[in-house]
Amino acid sequence: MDNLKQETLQVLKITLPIALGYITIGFTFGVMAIKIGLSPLASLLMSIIVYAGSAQLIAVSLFAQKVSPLVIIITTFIVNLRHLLMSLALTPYLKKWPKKLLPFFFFELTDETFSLHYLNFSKNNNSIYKSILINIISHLSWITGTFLGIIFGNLITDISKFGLDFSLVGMFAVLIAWQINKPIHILVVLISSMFTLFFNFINLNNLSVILSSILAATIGLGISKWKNK
Amino acid sequence: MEKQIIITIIFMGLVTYLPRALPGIIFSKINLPQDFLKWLKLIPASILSSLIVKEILTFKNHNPTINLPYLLGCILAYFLAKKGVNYIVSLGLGMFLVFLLRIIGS
Repeated sequence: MDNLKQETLQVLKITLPIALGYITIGFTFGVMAIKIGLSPLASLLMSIIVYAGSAQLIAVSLFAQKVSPLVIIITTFIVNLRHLLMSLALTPYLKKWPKKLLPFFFFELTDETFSLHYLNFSKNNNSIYKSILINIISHLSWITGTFLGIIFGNLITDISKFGLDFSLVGMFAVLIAWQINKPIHILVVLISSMFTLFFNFINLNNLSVILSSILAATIGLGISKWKNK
Repeated sequence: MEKQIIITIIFMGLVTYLPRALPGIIFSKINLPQDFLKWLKLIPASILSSLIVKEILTFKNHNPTINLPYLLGCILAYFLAKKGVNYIVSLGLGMFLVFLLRIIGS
């Protein structure tokens, strides 16, 4: 029991930035979705089954422009394709998990939950309870934010100015600080950042994360193999 | 109209779910080669840095825009965390800096 309480408190602490960020950005999404004429039901449904921040915000602007459903679906696919790499990166740590759990666990995989899972897993801490709790808190925050945006959107439109939206990017900065200690990691961070800038510059924003990560990891592996020869 | 939107959203969910779940489910059954595992270990650092850079520096028609509050907030949070400052405090101070810079900037 004590152990369970301790694990719960740990999860609440590390998931707090996600909760704050998701409520804030979910709120923005809810406000925008209603503003362009999506129904409350459709808006909530999107946060429940798509559950991907940037893709949902892009989809809202496409819905507003009356773009064809096929284009919206393909765009969503491209924007969310990066999760493929995150899913792969977590698998080596999930060998002992019940196989039946994986379809549910991966359903709630986002940039942010991925980064917390990886932090735990890389420290040999892959408690099922903790992982699922991180997922549920994050998803509920996203849905709650959306709901509040739908309800209160006409009263407050911009809650981002208080700096709450920064909690997600800030969390990535802290996690990088914790996890980057080997020279090869620093190199990979620099290569990936440069490729990201390049892909964004040539307007490949939607694929920049997946492309630059594949390239940076490949170059990083090549260099570490060449050095160890 | 509503029906078409709901169907579109269901398909959006499907095309989002497949890349999220399939790689993880399929590859959890396979013993991956050593080199591939080493490659996978470099992926999180690559993804995290890419996600940060994407938020800080954006391009519109090849013209760069720097999100200065985000940049400075990230630098502060990074160095506080490196110095061993507590997670919530590092982030909280970063958020406070972003908030202050936005007040000054607006």
